[in-house]
Amino acid sequence: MEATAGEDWVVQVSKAVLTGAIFILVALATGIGAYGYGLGTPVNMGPGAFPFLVAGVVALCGVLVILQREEGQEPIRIDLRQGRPLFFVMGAVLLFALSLPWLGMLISIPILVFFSAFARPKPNLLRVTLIAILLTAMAWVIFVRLLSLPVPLTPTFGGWT
Amino acid sequence: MIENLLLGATVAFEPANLLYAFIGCLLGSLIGILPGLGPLATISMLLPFTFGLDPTAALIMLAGIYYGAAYGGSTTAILVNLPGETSSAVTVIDGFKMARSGRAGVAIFTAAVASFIAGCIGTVMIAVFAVPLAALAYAFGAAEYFSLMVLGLVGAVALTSNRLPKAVAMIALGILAGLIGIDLNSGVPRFTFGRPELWEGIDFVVLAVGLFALTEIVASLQEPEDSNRDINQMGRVIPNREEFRRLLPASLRGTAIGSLLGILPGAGLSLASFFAYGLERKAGKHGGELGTGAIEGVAAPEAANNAAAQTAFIPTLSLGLPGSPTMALMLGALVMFDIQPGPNVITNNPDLFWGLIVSMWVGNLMLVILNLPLVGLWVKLLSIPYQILFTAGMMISAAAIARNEAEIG
Repeated sequence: MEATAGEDWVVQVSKAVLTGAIFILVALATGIGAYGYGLGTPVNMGPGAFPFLVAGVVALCGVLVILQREEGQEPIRIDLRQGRPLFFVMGAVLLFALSLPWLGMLISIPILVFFSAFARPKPNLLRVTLIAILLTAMAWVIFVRLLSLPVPLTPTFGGWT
Repeated sequence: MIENLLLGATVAFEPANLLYAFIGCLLGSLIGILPGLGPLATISMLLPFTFGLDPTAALIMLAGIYYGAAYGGSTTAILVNLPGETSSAVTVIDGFKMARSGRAGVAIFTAAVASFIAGCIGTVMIAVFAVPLAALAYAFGAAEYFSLMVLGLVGAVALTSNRLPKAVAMIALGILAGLIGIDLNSGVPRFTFGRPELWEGIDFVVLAVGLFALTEIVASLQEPEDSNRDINQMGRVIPNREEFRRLLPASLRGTAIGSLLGILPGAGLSLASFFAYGLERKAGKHGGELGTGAIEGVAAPEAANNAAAQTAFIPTLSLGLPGSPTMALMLGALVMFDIQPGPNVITNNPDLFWGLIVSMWVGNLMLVILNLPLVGLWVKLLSIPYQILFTAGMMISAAAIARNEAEIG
């Protein structure tokens, strides 16, 4: 495998190997799940038959991609520091999703805004607060007043279904 | 046929019907822009309000919502890389690239013009071909649909510039993602992690937001702070002669594909736009540039989805076969008004049928007129500092998903 750690935060991986590995991993996960659903017989296919076949195709492609790699191809340099926006954006969405049924929209939107603000280092907290207030108000107007959607506003601690 | 169109014109140009067409187009554009809210939800909400209306007026308004939304989805697709409707998902590719290079105005205008061209031609096509096209739709069986799907998949492989294993793997991965949900043959929920929300598969809103909106946000945040400043300048709105020369053939090709695929029940607007994009890649003179911000990449799919939105009415009206849930609602509206869709609807209710057709053309014209002044407004919105913009984007995304959650689970 051509994975080296060069400078501190940079990892180098060969593009083809990474792609192939991802394919194979996904295929394995799906294939094992599919097997659990029962393959049945070719005459009487079970629910897992088609997913298993497709997963097999993916695995095969993964192997082919690895085998077909050209030597001397530029490896990808992954700068792990670039993971910061990903972490904070995804984390914010996750926190929003988890907090919405428990804490209500009026709290979870500010959580979303504040957490995602840290995607860039040293956010201007005053600005972020203003944005949070503005967006919460907008969300209330649009989704609760105008669209009449059933959204929990205040903490219900899981009581909302 | 001229008499029919004239009859339709007298119906369509009645002030009340013009008003309803306008309301429909306006509403349609607005909901097209919002990801998560689509024509289906809107029409079902508005259906009770149409009880008191004249059936032609009601149908005109509902139709306006339908094709208005097909157009509206392109605005967000171009400006923020987030398709408002599934059918605009392929417009993001070139549309957003165009916006990034300062040609947002031209891109949006192209979408409008291409849709209008499609609308004009589509109207004529319906007028001339309504009956034979309906017969064609009737003839499509399971084998034909399967072949269509295979064509789509093979086309997807052929159109990528990747090497074969990667292309096939992409398609296979897509199929795997689509397998999430209840297996139709056995009733077993597959890959749902025990969550009922996944029984119908991954919701489109969730997919669009995750695949397009959030990734764009994360990618932009990864770039250094200042580089976001210059993008999305309005630039010109009207395409220059060169651009016009390029968007016309693309629109025509898109219209052809859209008209054909729209009549097939179940084929849908998205299939039309994706196919049109693919065709453009292979058959268009500048096909190789697709993906880098080529104007054909906006014109072809947008023309296709508009054409498909109009021809979708053909099987619904003349066969009573709704091609999609939205069309089923239209059918329901018709039945509610005591109009029997079927081969006789043209002879029994000529003013309804032809009035609707001409009104579609009027509606398309309205769409162009409505949206052009708004283009400047939309693009202005994008000069807001990215800090605010991306948080707002995230909030809308999160809320759209939450709304879907609330509705289903």
